[in-house]
Amino acid sequence: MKFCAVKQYFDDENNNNITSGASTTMIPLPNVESHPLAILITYCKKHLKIKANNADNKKETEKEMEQYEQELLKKVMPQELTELILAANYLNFKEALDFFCRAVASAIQNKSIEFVRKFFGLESDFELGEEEKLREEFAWSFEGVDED
Amino acid sequence: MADSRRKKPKYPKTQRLTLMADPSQSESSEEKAVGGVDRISDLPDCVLIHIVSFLPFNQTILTSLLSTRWKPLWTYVPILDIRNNYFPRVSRVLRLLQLKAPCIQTFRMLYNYSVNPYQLDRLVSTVTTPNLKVFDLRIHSTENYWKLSPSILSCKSLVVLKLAWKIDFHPLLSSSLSFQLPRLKILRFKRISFRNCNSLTRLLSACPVLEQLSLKVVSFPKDVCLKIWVPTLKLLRITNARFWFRFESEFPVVGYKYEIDAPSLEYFEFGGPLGDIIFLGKLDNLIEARLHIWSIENDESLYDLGLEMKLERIFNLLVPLNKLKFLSFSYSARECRGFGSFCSMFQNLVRLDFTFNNRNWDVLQALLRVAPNLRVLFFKRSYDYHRCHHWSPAHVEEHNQLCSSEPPKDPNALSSHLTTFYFRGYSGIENEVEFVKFILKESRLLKTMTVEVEVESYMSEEGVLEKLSTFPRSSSTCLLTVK
Repeated sequence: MKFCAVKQYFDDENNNNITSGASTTMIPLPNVESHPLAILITYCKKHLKIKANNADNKKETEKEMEQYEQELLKKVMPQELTELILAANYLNFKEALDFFCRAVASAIQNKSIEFVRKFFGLESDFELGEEEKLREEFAWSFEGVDED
Repeated sequence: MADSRRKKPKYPKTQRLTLMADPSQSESSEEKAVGGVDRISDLPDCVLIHIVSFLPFNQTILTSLLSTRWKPLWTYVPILDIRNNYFPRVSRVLRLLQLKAPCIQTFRMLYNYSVNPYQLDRLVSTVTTPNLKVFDLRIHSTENYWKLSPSILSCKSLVVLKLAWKIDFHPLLSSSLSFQLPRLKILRFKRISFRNCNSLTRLLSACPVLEQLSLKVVSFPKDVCLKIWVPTLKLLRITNARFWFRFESEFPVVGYKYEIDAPSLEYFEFGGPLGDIIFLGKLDNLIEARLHIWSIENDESLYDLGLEMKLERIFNLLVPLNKLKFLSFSYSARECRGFGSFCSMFQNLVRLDFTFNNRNWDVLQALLRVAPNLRVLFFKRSYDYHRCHHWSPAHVEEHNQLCSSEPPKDPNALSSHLTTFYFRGYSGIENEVEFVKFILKESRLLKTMTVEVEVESYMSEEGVLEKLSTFPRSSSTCLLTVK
């Protein structure tokens, strides 16, 4: 069970002596929206399927998984990635979390600070002059950054 | 289940001016700021750090400019990897390390400056914390060597140690300091010279759980035997670059006597001129071996070192490996004397990748005789000779006549389990045709035979397919393909 949070829920349920025959248990997931959840479920199923198909060959598994991930990224809007990360984090789904974090990192790689702030919806709350000081100190890191 | 927006999006600083100048445009600018809703701040710090950890090093630092919350996050990223083309000055690296050091688990650096021992020592001692797991340092300087500082060899948490190039072990390891690497599992040396072999042996004895040892282009004095005695070792790789001999080296070049005692060994790889390799004890757990043996002809220095190609050496190397399942074997040399036969069987051998060159049929014959359970035979032509020395086909034939080597003919030699045969580099000369005929005739269970025609032989695929299809075969289910 990849969704560790859900698994935990089931474990807790069993401890409370709820009949294991109940097939449609409602599990409340207040912090997960339906759209990211759907994507995560598809991702999970695909992952397990690929793993089962290529039980012996680890390289094949990785290759197929990469191809699937590339396809998935084309369909998902960059802004949705944040939602997906939140969902994966809440569900404690490690592989998806790694994947989406990597995707976000490549989306913000080589981009200017302003772009990244816009992307995340962040606001700079530095004190006056603090940001300039930091920029100066780390001026050498700015090489290789795209213009917005 | 949509969450209601908890906070209204605030206009980013850079857009305030447009807002004041033209109020009617304010809505469109809000729409333009896609991702205006700040959801990322709902994530816990550890996830944000995880995102930052996938960025290249210099960009992780930039994230500190995003907001006050993001300012310290980069210092918690457990990886410090400065191997790419971007070289900060070492003094900067040191300063950054002061901030980050306690959290670093993986440290990888390509040091491309002239060696400054003081700086390097400080670097190593700052990075060596109880959290450090991976240490990978390559010193590409063209000048001096750096004497390895002792702190890294007493790092109790270290799991992976990779050192390359201009690093000198000797003074350190000949001192009376004691070393402890109780968690070290992977050890890789590249282009390191050991002035005497005791240093390496001593280091190995300080690693009680070592699982992988990789010696790439490592040299030690000739006539000295390098002892690799590691009971927990699962992977051993000893490889040499073809042109290593042409490099200048301060240390006397290249001994090739190994004494290996590694009863848990599962994977063994060897590449280079073959000296004397002795295995102490049995290798009952061996699964795979890759042997790529070559020699430099017309190089007197090799003869000096006692490294001329001797078939006995190959024989002695193969005998202790007889428990393995997968063998990949190639050797190129001009010598062709009788090989002899193995007295013990290679019962578990399931797949054999053999690189042939018209002179090593004897070895192939000997192997096939003792591998009754062989299922897959991957047969590849070696390109060393005929390409490098530009021999004409006539010359090749002439040379082949001189060697009394013939393709296997003994029907008992071929495994009755062979299911797959792959031939890469088929050029239609007599020996090859004989061999293919032989395989078709003797393998009763053969399912697929694929022949890849050598591009320069100007044979057509159809022609080859036609010819090969005429050969008698004992397997009724064999699929013959020519590419």
